[in-house]
Amino acid sequence: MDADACEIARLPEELLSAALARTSTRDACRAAAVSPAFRAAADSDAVWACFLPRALPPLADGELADALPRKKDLFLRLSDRPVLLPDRRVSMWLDRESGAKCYMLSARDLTIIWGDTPQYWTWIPLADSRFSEGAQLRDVCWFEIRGKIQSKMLSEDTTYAAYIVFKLEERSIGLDYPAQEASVSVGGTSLTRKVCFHGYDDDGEAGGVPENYRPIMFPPQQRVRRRNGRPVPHGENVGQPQKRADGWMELELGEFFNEGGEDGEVSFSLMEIKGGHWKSGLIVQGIEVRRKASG
Amino acid sequence: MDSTADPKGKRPLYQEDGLAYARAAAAAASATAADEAEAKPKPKPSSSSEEAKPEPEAEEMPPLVLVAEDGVEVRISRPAARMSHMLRLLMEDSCADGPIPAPNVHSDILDLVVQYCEKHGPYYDPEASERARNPFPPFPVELTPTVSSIKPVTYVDPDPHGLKDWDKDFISLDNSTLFEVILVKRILNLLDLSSTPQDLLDLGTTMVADMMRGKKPEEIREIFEIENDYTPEQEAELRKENAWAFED
Repeated sequence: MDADACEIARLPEELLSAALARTSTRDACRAAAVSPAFRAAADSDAVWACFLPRALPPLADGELADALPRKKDLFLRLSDRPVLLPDRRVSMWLDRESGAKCYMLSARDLTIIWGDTPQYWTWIPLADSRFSEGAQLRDVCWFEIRGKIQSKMLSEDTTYAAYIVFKLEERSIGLDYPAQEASVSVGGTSLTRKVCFHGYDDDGEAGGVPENYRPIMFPPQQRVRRRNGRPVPHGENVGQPQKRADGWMELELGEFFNEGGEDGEVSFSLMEIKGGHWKSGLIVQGIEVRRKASG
Repeated sequence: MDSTADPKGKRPLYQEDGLAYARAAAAAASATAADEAEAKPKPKPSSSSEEAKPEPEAEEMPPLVLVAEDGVEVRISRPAARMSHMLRLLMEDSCADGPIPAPNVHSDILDLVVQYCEKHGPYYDPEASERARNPFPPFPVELTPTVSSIKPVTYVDPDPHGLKDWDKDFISLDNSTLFEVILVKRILNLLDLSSTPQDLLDLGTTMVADMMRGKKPEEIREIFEIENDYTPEQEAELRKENAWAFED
């Protein structure tokens, strides 16, 4: 046996592909830079077919118009930007690290209580979204948004988290206190946590009620939204919003593990119905369901 | 040393397998299968009596003789040979009595593969192993992706016969032997493109995958002693094309 020879080069390309298919998308992309022989294996359809999901949902017309000759091209396209499903109310993309299917349920796909009543919620065009419109909260006391997705649309054996994607308007009131309740239900199990559309700074004290909080239905008052000086007084375990790269904000509703192979559905809800006060000044793009990296 | 030492005179087969071989050779002399089932004083050493798969006809016959590229003969017992689809077919067609050529395989490597088959053979159930029937290679385009294909293999399987530990020792070969073994699997299946024993192929490719996971290209080149025949421009372009993979 020639121990000096480049042994791995003697592996047929199919077997090198089999080995690469067991690594990750990141490893397979890096392997392409090792040598031309590696690149042939690393870029092969055999490897990327393994990273793509077993079944992709049907897409809206014209969504994948560009030529995508290789499986790797298809993977990179789907992990780069979302594609719309036929109803144009849900978009999908792949998590680049794992190939897991991720979705955004647009506001039109959600169930928004009082969403059909223009006095309470209106629908506005969105310039910076794949969806043509979003829901704008004018005034509401009963704040309830629900969404759901079929388990079989999600990738098996994956931990997901759901986020509401939103923007707060300047004139927003009532959404800082009390905290909203978010819940995620899979099968018979449901997990609820407190979240808040308003973030707060770390120098804040926990607990306490804002001075001008009135739990009875007065006409909405213009109020300067709190800035850095006055933190929102919530307890420790209230989920905080995060800024996204696309200019929107997101608030995690909860996470769940999708085992796969079940016919059930996962449902999400976000509510504030106990405070009894008016809330306004929110724009909702939708609920995003994406893979949550473990650890 | 037992009398069934490997004809090369170097490394004999495992002692237990030697016993199995001796029994099989003795059994070939006797005519009835029933006698053999009773005459065996102890069960096959690598399986417990309640799990011995009843294969009287296979155990009667003498082992198959595979001829490596260096002309050396390597014997594989019939139950172990069942793990290769090609050999199974030959046995069914009764074409397996003479020497079977295994070209392009050195006898040392053939030995290792035969050792693997001897160890796993008694527990090998072709019906149970669905994946063994999938053609490999060539890959069908609709490969079944499993999450485990993009995660380190850390599945927990019940392992009643201690095969996992044996496998771990077996597979801690140096690079060149590992690749030879993988290549041999390929060759043993040349006739039929079906993937038995898939386990050995899986084992080998998983090992290679573990060696590559999380490494930078320079590190991979070092581990496998690969020459970088990219020009600097080509390499720079590839890194740019796959830029996200290099962000740490």
